[in-house]
Amino acid sequence: MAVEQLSLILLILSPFVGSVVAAFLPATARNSEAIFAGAIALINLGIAIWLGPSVRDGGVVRMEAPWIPLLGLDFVLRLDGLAWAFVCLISGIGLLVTIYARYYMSPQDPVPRFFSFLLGFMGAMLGVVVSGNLIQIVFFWELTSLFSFLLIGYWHHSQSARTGARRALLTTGAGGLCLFAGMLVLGQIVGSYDLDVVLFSGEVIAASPLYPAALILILLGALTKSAQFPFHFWLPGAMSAPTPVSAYLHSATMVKAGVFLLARLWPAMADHDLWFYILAPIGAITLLMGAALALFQQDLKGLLAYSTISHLGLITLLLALNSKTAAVAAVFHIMNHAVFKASLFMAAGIIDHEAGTRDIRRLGGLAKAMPITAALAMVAAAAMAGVPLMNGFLSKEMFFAETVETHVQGSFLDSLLPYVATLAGLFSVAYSLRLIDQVFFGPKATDLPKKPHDPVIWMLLPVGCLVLICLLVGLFPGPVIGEFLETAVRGMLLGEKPYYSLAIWHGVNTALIMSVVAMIGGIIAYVALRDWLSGDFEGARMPGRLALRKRVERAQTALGRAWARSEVWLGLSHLQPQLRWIVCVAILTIAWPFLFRSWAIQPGAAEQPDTALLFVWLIGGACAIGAAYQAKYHRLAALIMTGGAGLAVCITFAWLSAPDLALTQVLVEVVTTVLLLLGLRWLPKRKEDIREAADLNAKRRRAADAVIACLGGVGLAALSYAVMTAPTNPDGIARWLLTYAYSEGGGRNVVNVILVDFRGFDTLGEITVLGIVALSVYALLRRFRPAVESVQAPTQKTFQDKYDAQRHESHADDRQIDAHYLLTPGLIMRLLFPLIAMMAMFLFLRGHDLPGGGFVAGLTFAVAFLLQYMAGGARWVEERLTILPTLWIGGGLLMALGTGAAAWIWDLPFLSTYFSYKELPVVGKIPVASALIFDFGVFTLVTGATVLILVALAHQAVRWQRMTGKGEKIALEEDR
Amino acid sequence: MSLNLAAAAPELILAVAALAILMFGVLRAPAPAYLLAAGDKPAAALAERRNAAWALWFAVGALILAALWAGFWAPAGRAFSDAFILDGLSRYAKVAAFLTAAAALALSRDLMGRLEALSYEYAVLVVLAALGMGMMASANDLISLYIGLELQSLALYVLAALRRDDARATEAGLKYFVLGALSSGLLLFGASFVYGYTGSINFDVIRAVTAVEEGHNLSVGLLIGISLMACGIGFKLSAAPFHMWTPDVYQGAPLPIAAFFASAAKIAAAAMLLRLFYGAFGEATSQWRDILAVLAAASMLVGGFGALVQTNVVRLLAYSSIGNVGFALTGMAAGTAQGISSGLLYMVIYAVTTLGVFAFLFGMRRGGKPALAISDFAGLARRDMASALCLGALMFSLAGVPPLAGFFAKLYAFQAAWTAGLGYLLVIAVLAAVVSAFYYIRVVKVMFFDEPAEAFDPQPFGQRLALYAAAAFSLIFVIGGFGLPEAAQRAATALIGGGA
Repeated sequence: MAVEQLSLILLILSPFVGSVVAAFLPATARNSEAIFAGAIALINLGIAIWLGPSVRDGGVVRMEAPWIPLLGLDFVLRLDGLAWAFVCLISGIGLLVTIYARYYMSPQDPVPRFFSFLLGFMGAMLGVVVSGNLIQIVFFWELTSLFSFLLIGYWHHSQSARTGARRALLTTGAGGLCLFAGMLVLGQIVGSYDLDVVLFSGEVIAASPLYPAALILILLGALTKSAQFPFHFWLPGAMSAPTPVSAYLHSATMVKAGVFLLARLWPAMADHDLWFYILAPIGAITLLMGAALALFQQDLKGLLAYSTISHLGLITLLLALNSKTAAVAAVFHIMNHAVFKASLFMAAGIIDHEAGTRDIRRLGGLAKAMPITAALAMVAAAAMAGVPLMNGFLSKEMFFAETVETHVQGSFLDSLLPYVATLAGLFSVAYSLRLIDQVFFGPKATDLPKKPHDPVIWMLLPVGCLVLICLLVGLFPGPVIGEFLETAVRGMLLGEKPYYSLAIWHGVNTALIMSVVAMIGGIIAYVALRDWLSGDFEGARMPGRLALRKRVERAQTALGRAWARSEVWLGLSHLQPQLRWIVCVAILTIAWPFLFRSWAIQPGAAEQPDTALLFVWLIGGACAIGAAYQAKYHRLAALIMTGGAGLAVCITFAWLSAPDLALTQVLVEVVTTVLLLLGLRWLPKRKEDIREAADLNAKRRRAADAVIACLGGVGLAALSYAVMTAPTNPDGIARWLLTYAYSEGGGRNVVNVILVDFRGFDTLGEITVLGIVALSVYALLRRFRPAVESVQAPTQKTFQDKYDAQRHESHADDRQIDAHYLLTPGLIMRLLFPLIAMMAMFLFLRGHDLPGGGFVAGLTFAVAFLLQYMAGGARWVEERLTILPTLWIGGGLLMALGTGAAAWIWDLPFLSTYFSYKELPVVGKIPVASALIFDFGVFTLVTGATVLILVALAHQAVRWQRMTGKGEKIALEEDR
Repeated sequence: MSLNLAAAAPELILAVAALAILMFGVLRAPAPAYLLAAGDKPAAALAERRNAAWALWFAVGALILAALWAGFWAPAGRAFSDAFILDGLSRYAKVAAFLTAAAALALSRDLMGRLEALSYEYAVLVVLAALGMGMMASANDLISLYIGLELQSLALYVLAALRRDDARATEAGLKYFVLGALSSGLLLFGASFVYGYTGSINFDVIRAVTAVEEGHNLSVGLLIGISLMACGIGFKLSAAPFHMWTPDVYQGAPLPIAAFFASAAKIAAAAMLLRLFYGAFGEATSQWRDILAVLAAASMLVGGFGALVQTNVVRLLAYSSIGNVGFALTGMAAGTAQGISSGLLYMVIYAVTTLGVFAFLFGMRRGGKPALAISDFAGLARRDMASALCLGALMFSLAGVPPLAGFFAKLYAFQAAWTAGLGYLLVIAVLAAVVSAFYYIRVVKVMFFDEPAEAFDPQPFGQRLALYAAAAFSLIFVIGGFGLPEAAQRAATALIGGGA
């Protein structure tokens, strides 16, 4: 057994290895390429023949190897009768095609690529047929699509080859993906992907509710591959491939993969009404339509392509019937069709090669010039038409006999089948006749590009072989093909063999009468249409409405355009709509539980709110809305109103007994507002014409934004309310903090204890960030160049300057004028400095037990500097005070770190605290905690950071003066 | 309950490396240009470039060392009082993220030099971002998760706008920053809800609390928290409907940075998602499955249809990344061990493939100017067959065509979704896969069949090598998958224990 399994591996591997090797052979080595490829096909054929006895009588050769253990998938090769028959077909015809291709390809063509792709394709196709699990089939299936794409597009300089290749790949590739999904579903139903399990689970599959899904997905894969209606459109386009490719792919292999799959899964899936009701109409329509359209083709290969579509429809129809004898007929016809169609394609290739055209109208009377080709083509065409004593006749008779049988009781379709079959037979006789008559007989063509003659013997040999098979099978079906067919049938039907007869003569029965009718009708039809057919019209395609190809392409462009338009419409390429979009999604996310999970806001947990507080809130809300409204056109107003909203928040904190928060909030408000104001001064002026540009569209947009903002705001408020009125967690952290603030942290001001003790590490991180932010602001503003229009002094200041200058004409000194600017308020501000510093100290010292602390104190102290800068200007202040904010930042950070690290001296973890009370003269008892030093670090850093930002802004004014040449007298270090 | 620095060694390596490079850059920096005499300027510029190159290679080394350390030497365990965890999942994600980051960084040497964007800060930022990624993958509480995320994001914001004088890059950086800040806010808001309703920031405790609540429905507050966190993570993953920044940033940022975004950043975001949803909310699978499914479906559709109309390769790749995140999310929505392993596997396969494509894009320059339209691929096959074949393989892999790695990625993801009963999601996935196959194949068609355009400038060897390596990866993956599936499965077991 081991040898058999090894030979299976060799069977799969050799074409792929060959493909790689062939790609690297020299481009000119046509002979060695062909011999090499042929040898590989021959080896495979040999293996197949050698394995024949093992699979006869329903035997199976299996080879397993672990592959994806995660999914329980093994790599399984499985050769049974059906697969074996296909292996013979693939490698046998492959061998003939390589011989043929050697002489067909011109020396200019890059031969290595061709043979490499061809061998790759052969390997993929062999892979499909010998795969032992469903996923593996899909795997090789997609490979065949890929290689066929490369082969069809081989002559990539031709536009039609490129579109043909692309269309074939898209259709079959997409089908392959559907097939993949279908296989997953099928595997799910059965519980295994192993083919041996799947094939014997027919009843489970048919009973499953997932059956329709699996069926439709799998059929999408199979039907696209086999070019069945309505997916047939890619096959005629694929005719721009080199003829050996067509002979191989579009007769024997690639398009057969679809029907192979149907045959493969036949025992598992056919026993269900849907199988018949989906497949039978498709098969019938394809059969009839393909045959009819084949008659109207002017391209020789186009005719053969449509004929192939029609014959594949016939096979599909046979498989649809869910009868074992029909299945036998299907397998038989697959073989026969492969043989005669391959030979006809090769013959068409010879004609193209020697005569230089494939246009049926231009050809004619070639029988004299190329008698051998003519003879061979005639026999093959006769087989295609189903003339007695040819192989095509036998399977067609079986088909006719099957259509007469009743399969689905009382179905309209079933009773219609014999007529469809006869009509299709009629057409096939007609187009076969046309092929022979117009190409080989009639008036001799005069305007051919080349002078036609029979080709070299090596090109005729493959055709000859195939035609011989047609004849032999037709004459002596029993001895020639009987055993072969039986092996295939047993493989397909899991060892069973229904009764069928391969005799040529069954007596006069309905099938024969149908044949005769088709034959005579076909001849009459051809004779009647003959002159018209040679007329001047291009080959008929599918009637416009049926041409799915066009629709698919139109749908693609329409889809693309719709997408582009929707992107423009949604405006998703701009920041504002993107923001709007994200905010909307967030609002929806939050609203969703309210809407669908019936989450309501519980009323009444809080007591009736105070009217006065409500009023404050109304003002705050109005300020916030006003700020948002004005933000675009009046920055100053917006900023002031933001401050108003902040104050409302501050009052709320105070109202709800959170003095600490209120204090912090008010200071933060003050400092940030002032800094922002200072910053605003350097922003570019508003462009006056923007308001005019605010057309209706912009207004609408702003209105929409307002609605979104209100929704978001109301939503957030509701959410907060719901959260805060919800029952609190009794083990929450608040209680713990309140209990231990004094005993563990030594402070009665819990907020401060949290900041400097419980979450001291966080605070350390925060002040570090604050320091970095200040430094970044400073670094950024150092290189800042204000807009030209804001370089001038503010309007107000110019008035004041003018006024001062008039009053003190004798002192035209800059500094004097500065001194007079805002004289009274300036004086008060200067006087306030020690007071505010005192206040800061006070806030700092009481911080541990009462509202205050390092952060607040730092901000307060910064306000003192702020006032000095405002009153006197940067130069005045810096002449009198040494301000080294960067040092303060660094010092503060070091102090905080040092406090934390000091704990190590006593072998305690970082930031452990110590506290007690100390008696101080005059001041009295003050708390001395290590946290106090830490807090002092915070204080220093906050002051430093705020002042640094202030300095950075203030120096803009100095720089401006220097730029305009006004302040050169006083040198002020710019980049300290 | 201690520092346990050994478990965090890879991160420490990166942190030290980032600081060292920074110091190196600052100390070795030549004097600023305006202080130099005209004659000294070229020498200073040269020195600066040399410094930058040193910094870059040093960063690459540090990243590789960190990856090795995370993969082999760091002992599994918890650090920083349970805030940080090193287990199978974080190992997997770190090795993948650090290595892809190292690859993206190493490959960018040539192009960044050409763009005159090569500076030592660039290397520092990449290392810092990688450090953040490591933290994201290892986070075991809400705070370390957020810190890791922000460290990564802040570095990425700067990276996106690294070329300050380029209008497009500035726009991209601004958009990314504003939207990113907003989504970080959403994430934080959600995290506060989670904390409020579970009473803890620690993932193990959150998991225990939700496990109790799973019987009767989760409280709505927690649900809001989960949804909002999903929004925030969706943004970082560039999942629709939070995807809008992706095409702009990919196109605006220097290409190597876009490659970094598409590979390492995606892996880390996926790991974070898994950590959060399977770790912290792992007992409430039924509650968030639909959220991820919606993100997945939207991403796949947006990625698929959005890419159809693109003419620029980079934008195409951006939409491709959106779509691929959707596919990965399809698997991750499953809520099973399979969901974890499929998501991890998907991200790595996608990252390697897309890095290979980017490596080629780096060299798509004609006469020194970038040529990044899809039409610039025209006829590549006839000028440079090897590259065309490799690119073709990568495109087919992205499209999920069978023998290639991308197929297995999709296979695992779909399988996981299917087993979890997300059939409707699979329908969308298949549809999107078909649509996206179209545009990948369009690129192949242009390469092989269109009239050849002018040749590209010669490519540095490293970039070609990366392209070949990525193609080889996607080709050879079929044999054994480089042990990736097993590693992903180990990661899944580490996170939720037990098999599928």
